[in-house]
Amino acid sequence: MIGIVAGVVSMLLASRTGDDELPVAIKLFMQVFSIVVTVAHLVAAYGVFRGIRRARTVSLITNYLLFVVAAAALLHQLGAFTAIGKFGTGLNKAFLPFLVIVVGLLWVLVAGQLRAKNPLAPGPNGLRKAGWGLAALAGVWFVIASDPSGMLSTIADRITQPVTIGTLLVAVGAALATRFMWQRRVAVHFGTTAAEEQTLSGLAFLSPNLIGFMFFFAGPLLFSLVVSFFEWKTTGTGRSFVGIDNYVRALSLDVSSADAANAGNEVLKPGYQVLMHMDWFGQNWVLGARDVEFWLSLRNITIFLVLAVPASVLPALVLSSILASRLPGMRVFRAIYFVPSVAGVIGVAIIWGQLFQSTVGWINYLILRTGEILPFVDPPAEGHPWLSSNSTALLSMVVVFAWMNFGFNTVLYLAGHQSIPKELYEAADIDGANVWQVFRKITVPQLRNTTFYVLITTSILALQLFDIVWILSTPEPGGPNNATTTPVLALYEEAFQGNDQGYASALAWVLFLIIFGFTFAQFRQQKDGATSGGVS
Amino acid sequence: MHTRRWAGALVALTLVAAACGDDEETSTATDAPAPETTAAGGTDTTAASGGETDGEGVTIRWRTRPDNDAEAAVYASIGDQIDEANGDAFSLSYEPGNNEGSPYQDQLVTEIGNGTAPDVFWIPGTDIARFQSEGLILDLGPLASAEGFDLSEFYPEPMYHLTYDPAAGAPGDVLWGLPRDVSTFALYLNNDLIAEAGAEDPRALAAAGEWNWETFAEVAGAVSALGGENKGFAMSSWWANYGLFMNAAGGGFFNEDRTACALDTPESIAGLEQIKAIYDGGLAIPFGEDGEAPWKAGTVGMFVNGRWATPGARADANFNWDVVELPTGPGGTQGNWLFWGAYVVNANTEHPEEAWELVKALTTAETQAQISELGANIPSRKSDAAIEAFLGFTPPENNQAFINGLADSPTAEGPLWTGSWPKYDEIMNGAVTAVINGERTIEDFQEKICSETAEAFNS
Repeated sequence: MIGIVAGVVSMLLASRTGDDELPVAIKLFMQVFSIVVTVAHLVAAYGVFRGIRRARTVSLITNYLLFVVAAAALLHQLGAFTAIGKFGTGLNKAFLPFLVIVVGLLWVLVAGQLRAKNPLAPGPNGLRKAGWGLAALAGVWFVIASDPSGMLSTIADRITQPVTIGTLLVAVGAALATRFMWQRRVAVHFGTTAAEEQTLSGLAFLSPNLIGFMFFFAGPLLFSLVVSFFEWKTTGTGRSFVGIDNYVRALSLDVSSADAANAGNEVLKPGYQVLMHMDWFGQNWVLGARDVEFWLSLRNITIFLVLAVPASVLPALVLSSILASRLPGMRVFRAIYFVPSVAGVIGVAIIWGQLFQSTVGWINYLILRTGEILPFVDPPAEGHPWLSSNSTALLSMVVVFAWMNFGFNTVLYLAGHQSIPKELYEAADIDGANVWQVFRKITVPQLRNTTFYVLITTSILALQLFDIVWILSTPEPGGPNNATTTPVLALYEEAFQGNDQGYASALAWVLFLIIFGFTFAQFRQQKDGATSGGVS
Repeated sequence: MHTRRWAGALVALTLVAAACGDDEETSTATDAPAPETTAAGGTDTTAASGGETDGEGVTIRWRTRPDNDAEAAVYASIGDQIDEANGDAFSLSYEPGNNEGSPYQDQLVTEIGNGTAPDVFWIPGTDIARFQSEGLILDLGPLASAEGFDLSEFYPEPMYHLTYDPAAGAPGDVLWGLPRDVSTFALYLNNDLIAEAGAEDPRALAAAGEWNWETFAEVAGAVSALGGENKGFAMSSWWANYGLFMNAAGGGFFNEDRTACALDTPESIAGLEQIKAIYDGGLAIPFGEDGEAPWKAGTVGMFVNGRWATPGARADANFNWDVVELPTGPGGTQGNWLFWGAYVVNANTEHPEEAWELVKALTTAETQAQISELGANIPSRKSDAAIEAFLGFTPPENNQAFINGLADSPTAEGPLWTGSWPKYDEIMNGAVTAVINGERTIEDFQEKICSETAEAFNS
């Protein structure tokens, strides 16, 4: 009954209007959530009244979720989520006592270890108590130094608001209901089986991760699907339902014949721009699109995928075979090759941007010097504009991407190497197989599962390319002349510069379907043939 | 065991509450009662915004985009001074935005969408129209006219756009903000390299009135003739760089009332031909490449950039350098831009009067003089004192080059009131890049560019 009341109260709170009306998305979520919770509680109440065994499970889960949502809302109303800055300020003012608290707690930890080694010795016990005392004194000092009066007065001010009081009551009610239904005697009353108890315990342990996934990943994902059917301003200044118009706009193409080889937009339907010119069977054709940039981004990302994935995977496969050997110094090299994977992508891209610079970059410098040193190489007269040339801009991005990812792929392959039976290599050795034959006939097939995983993850990363392009094509992201525009870059620009969150969401879902289809196809292909070994 | 667990939880909560304690400034601001506030300009201000009310006091959050850490520190200091001079009326909270090159506006748009944007923020001049058309910024006109605020002390070019009434299609009684500062382009010179090339000193040519496209090409050619990594000229692919050649030829991006494309006019095409000739002649580092790094490395004779590049030049250029005004084009002017950005007020602020007071305080001659002393900005007020402060910041010795740029009928960096500037920029930039890189003919550009950019006016 407490849960039913809490569900109704949360529905009323979510539906309030006026100055403190909730944003539409949160309001919608809260309303749906409240209805579901109320219905679930009604079902649970009916079950409890009739003594149905599963009623306890329904009640427990519903009350627990209601408690989590109400607690989060309460923290929001108390300003807890926006108090991080103030937390830093307060910590700064009382940093010294904070350090003493840490020292005191470390002291307790060390004393505990000593006591564990020699439980009968009196010294560690005294040290432990002294540590607790020090931490407690420093705690008092901390509270005085950081002056919590401001925070307390803010909390006191906000907690008197009717909405906050209502949320607090819902949270407390849901918590009490959860606590009550969780009790052993209630479980016995409903005849809950041991298997059900174990399932509930397992769900309770998993719940932080599950709830986090639902709220911060699945929820926004589904929300973006809803948004994609609207003309939805990023700035929140307008929205209207447009059905599948955003998808139609993204994918619309028009083909028209033309007299001239370089005909313009005039030969296409209104609203279409020239995507490319073609000459088929002596006839000029113009292919147009409503969103040229998106189609160009699809072309670019396809080329990028074809080049970047092999460049990230094949060197990793070969390198891992070398690093898996027991040659001296291999551990050091394993660490070195992994470094690019942990380096910040922005810093890496900036450095590569300097390396690619046409006049003072190191890559052109090395090419020019190599040409001067080697008699059979004709050095170019000038350095090549790697990033500003249409023909090499995307290729440059491939190099950076491969450099950043092949180290991580190497580590995955190294893990795969560990699971290849040594007997296979011994047998090959006895049979007189050479290095290439061993690699081709044993290593590569045995790493099939690892290769599959590496291909999938690298392909998804490649299809989501954004940050490298964003940095390397500054000041015109996606340049030169859209040669490096990617789908993620296109949707980012639509969302934040075009202020069109609805269309950007539609592009995101088109990209999702492409990635899903690509991955699904790879999975289907992988199902053929036997597999063994490696990461799966 | 249970007692200890509860005690631990209580201690942790106490520590968090203690650490979340307000700082002193905020605490003192709670003494003053909040003034009555009303929405200005008929804009809906019912939604909650960045303005914070601690107890009964008002805190106004404000943000600007500094060009470097030193500038961020000065802005913070200015905020403190205004806060102190302001007494108990309201307190300020300064949030330095990202440096140039970072998505400052994108972050701002997101925060506006979430209702967490500051009360007062700076945006570039090109963004005024899109922020206004979305109803994101407050019309300060009623507040300004109520107290007879004098707008004539600011440069007229930015004020044209800041008082532009889209409904009337002309400047009117509205006011979207006040300009923070202005800037123009100049050529950053590597005097050592130019002397080594045996070319004439561009400063001397400018003083003699002989600094034009022809002599510019001669100097660039002489430096490029040194060979190796050396090039005479560098500029980035940002629209303003190629735009100045179009302006100098008497053309431009838009027609006079900025309602249609003018990229296909003979004058604009003449500017584009000049740019292409520079690149085809091998006088410049490739289009699209960063020009600043090779100039700082000492391999570029002339590098075009705004005043904001001066701190970097002072820090990194290990050679004899200075600036000179842009060469005069066939249109009779340098074709320079007047870059500007403005402090605007969030349409959803709960405290428009306080926000307006802050905007005024941030744009006084005294405040602008403090910024000018850093050398990166020219005051947006026509104040002799502020200009003197700017000129006194050396190197470069020839600071006057920037002031001359201001005096030579610059084209104001402006928003597109009748279309989408980001879309126009995207289409134009791709087309110009294709021409300069030889992937498209100038004739094709002239024939089609305005039909291609028509999409931007339909957005």
